[in-house]
Amino acid sequence: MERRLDQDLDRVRQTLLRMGGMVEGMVAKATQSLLDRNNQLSAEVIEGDTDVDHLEIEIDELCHLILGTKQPTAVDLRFLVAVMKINSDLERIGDSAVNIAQSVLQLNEQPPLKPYIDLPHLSQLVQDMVRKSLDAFVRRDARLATEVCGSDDAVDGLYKQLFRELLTYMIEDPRTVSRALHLLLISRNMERIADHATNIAEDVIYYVEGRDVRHSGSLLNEEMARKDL
Amino acid sequence: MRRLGLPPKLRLAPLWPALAAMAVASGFLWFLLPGLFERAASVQLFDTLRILTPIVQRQAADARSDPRIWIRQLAADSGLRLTLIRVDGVVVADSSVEPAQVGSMENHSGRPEVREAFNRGSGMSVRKSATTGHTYVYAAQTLAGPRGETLVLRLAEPLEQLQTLQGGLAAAMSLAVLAAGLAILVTSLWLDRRLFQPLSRLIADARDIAAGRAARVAVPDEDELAALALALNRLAATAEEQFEAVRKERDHLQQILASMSEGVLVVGPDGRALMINPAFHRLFDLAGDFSGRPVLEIIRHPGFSRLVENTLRLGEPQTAQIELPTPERRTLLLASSPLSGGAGGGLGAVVVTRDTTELTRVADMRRDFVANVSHELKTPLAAIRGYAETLRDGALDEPPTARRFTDRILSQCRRLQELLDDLLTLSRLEGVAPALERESVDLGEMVRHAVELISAAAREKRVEIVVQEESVPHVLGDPDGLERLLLNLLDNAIKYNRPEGRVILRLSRSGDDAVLEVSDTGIGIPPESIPRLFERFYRVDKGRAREEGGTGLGLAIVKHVAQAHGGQVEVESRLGQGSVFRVKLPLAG
Repeated sequence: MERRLDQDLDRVRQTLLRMGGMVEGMVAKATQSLLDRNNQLSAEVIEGDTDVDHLEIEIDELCHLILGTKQPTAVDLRFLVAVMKINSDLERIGDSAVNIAQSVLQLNEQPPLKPYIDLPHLSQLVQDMVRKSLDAFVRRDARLATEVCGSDDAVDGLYKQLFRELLTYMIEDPRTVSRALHLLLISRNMERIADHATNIAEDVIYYVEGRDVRHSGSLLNEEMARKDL
Repeated sequence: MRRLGLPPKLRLAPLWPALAAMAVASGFLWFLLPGLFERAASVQLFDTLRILTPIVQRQAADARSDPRIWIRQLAADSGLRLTLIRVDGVVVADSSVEPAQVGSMENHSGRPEVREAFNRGSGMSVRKSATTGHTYVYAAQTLAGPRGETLVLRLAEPLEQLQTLQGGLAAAMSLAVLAAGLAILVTSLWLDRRLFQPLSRLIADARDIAAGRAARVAVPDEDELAALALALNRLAATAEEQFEAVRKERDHLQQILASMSEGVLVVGPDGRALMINPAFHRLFDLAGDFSGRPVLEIIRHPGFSRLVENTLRLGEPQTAQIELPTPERRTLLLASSPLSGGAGGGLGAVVVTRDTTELTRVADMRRDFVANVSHELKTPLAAIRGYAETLRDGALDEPPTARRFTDRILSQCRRLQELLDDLLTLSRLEGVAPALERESVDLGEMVRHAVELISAAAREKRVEIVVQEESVPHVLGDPDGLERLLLNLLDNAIKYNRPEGRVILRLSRSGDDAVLEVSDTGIGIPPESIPRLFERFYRVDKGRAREEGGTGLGLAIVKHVAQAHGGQVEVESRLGQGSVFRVKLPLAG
């Protein structure tokens, strides 16, 4: 018979994945609403945030309950710690998606500023990162998680490029300032989503391998790596 | 591989009672037989004593004869020893002692059999004789002497004699036991060979079948066992047939599932995947084995998990449409139904997934088409109605105006006619494309004819038409359709040209294709419009095109005709410089 604890942990995993699916959908809809200038989709994103918030609280309570009553150890403990962190990262990704949707609603009131070239690329990259980080969690795949961490640099590069481009627009033509600012906000939110996806990936590595890869290069980390060998 | 048969304990079973019987017999022989012999001997000795008593009494009464002599004669050759003892234990005579020595024999009053005889009239014992040194069975009895005194007559038989007898009997019995043992052993071995060994083999074979290592058991010679073996084989054959049938059915089902273009996911009552077919993997871009995993770990889309949960919970079929954002945007139609067990318990659910991206797109196009057609029909009709109403309301009385209006009405009617013709052409091309009348078409002749037909319009627009013609073999096709294609291309090239412009019509051959190329020096087509150019009613510049009197179906017809002939259409264009339309048609043969 399965352990009672395993059943509880499974429930936590399922709830987190449900939330992950919702957040993924929100990010997809938010970027789609930007590219298609679709207010309907933006509204759906903003609406979906409530459900995500409820799930965040539910997951937190579940985790606390298990920690308090079952006193899990080793990998189970790491799992719960990782879930709690992933939980809050997912919620923030949801918030960022909502921010994007709100900016899109503002943008759609004005004619399009320019054909988007880097933005679809950025949004695709960001969505891939979120998807892969959750896939890594599901499959307990530390390698996929490491791959996600590696994508963050590309996102940062694209963000910087967009930043410069939009700045140029604003300098050249003050009438574009409000639209360019919204686009800048959107890019900024996408970049933040990528950061959260990276955090999730790091938590997955911690959960799977039991080592902390945050702020890699620190003394403690190298020491742990040596111990691993 | 160990062959498992009957345990040895069972195979030796018949031996045990036989061995027990033999042990009992041997025990009887070794422990009871000597006692029995001694008793038999004493009974015999007493009988002899009774016979001897009167003889001894008579002899003793005759005072002239010496007891020491006649007692020896009496015992004579019998092998028995006779002793006559007085009540005080003094030996009167003994058959095994020389008469001279009798007087020196020790007192016999202490001998147990003698003491017993004095006390109770008779006695016996088995012991070693102090006189002769042999072991004897003694029997003693009292008798009355000639002077009324009590005497004891003792008879002794050497035990060796008995032992010889007993030995013989024991040997005979041992032999019998041995023979019986041998018989039992032989029977056991025979039983083992005939029954237990074949049975062991049968059991081992049956186990092999159960383990899938063998197909059939070997049939032994014995009738009963052969019947059992045959029954086992029939059982195995039936099982094999049924298994094969089940396997075939399963393979069949699996093949059906694998060849389906719809994705199929079967989940158990606990919401974990039982089976996923390849199409499902493709549709959701899954890699790896997901059986046994919860649905959420396979597909995180909230719509998908909700569908599965609802189906399992409500036990009713559900449908849903979901959009997948990655890798490219797709619309999937999901239909799920519960798998219900016989006794009301849910067995899970099956979800069938279909990619409806293309269908949705086609449905959208159709909707747009109807809207477009209505719109295109409405415009000329509104104009005709307007002119007709104006005429009725008084314009008829002003002949020049009436004339102008009727001209307009006629031209609008012509436009309607053209539109309807184009629509009919399109539907003919779409509906009955396979039945397209195919005949050999000379493209060169067709080019010349088309140029002749269009030359009036070209002159009107002051556009020059240049024909560059290579000789090209005939193509197989519909001459009317092909001419229509060419005329539409030329018409566009002229219509969207600049004044004093130029249209080059080139007919050439490239490999197995005939190539018709129409290039103009016109306004060109913006790049973003090119992918939609061949859609019905698509206009690059809405105002301008309608002004030019096109139906919006010309290029759609071109594309359809080319495709119906197995050819294709390509466009190259530069804004402000002109466009090139290239039609490739496969040559006959």
